[in-house]
Amino acid sequence: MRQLRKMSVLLMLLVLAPAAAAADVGQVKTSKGGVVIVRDGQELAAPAGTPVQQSDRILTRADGSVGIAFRDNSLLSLGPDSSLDISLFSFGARQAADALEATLNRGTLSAVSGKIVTKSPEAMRIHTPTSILGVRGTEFFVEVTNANADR
Amino acid sequence: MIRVLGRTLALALALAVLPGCCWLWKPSGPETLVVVVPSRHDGHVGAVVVAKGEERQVLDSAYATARVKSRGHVHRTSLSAEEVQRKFAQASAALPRKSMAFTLHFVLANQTLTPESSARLDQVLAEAANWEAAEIDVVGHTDRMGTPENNDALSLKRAEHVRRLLIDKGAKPEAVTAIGMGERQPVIETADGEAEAANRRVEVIVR
Repeated sequence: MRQLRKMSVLLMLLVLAPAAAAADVGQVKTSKGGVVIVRDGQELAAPAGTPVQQSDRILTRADGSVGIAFRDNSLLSLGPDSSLDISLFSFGARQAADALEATLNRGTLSAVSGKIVTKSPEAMRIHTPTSILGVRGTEFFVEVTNANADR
Repeated sequence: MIRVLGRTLALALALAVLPGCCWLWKPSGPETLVVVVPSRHDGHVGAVVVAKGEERQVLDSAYATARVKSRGHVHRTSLSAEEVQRKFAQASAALPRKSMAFTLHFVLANQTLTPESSARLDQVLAEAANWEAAEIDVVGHTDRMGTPENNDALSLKRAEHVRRLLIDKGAKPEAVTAIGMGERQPVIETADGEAEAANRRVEVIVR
């Protein structure tokens, strides 16, 4: 009986895990020109109000720019010809430490840190092809030039 | 003799030119530029730690800048406000507006909001009307009386109650989310089991 209960808990975790991973971590708040979200290999339109999820890639075209607000009030925005991967987002979860990890593959990024950084400095990290940026606060810009255009 | 000299000269020339040509041909590779700026909201200058392998550089003054190429060290420099504005104008203009937070308190051991907190619900809706795509997070918190599990449930119950009040006043149901944070995010840190009125609250965030 105990074994069965353990099994069912395990099964429940397995079923719940993908649902948790696909939870919305933020939302597109500003969107101008060509902006798409690449999710599971598909390109989705991204007007204001579009949810953003972990593992999304945000792309802007030559005429595009986009701004995202995360659940912890972190703000990230991209200028034209930019590519950003939302690698990890966890906030206020019982079983995981707070974290926001994103990768700027190319282009320009504007950022204002939110509650995750207020509570645990450097739990927000921006990865680039040549460095890792640990964010202690508050506002900063990042540009990646000469990068792989496929990303 | 002249042929040997000619050959030597050609070889020397080739050796001299070779590194130059390869240096020209080699693609320069990706480069990162990082600039810390004063916050547009309160002027505060924070810090960013730039890490490359084992190397760490802390940018913690206004317009402190680092350039990081694939090879070599992190290069410290500084950009002018005008240069930053020129480079990042479009990214900067796309940054979403700052969220607004409202804190609501309850009459003790009850689900009734204090009169001031009731009035604050209208301010929440007025703020949400200013946004193109507003989300309203209703986040319940408790103090450290009772078990963490009970406090998770209690904080969610209070948040759901406030969510219902906002919807009754006209907020779009799909835009309002109730979240229970239990005792994990106190305003004032206390020992376990301690009552603390400031921590028994619901925060409403419009973003």
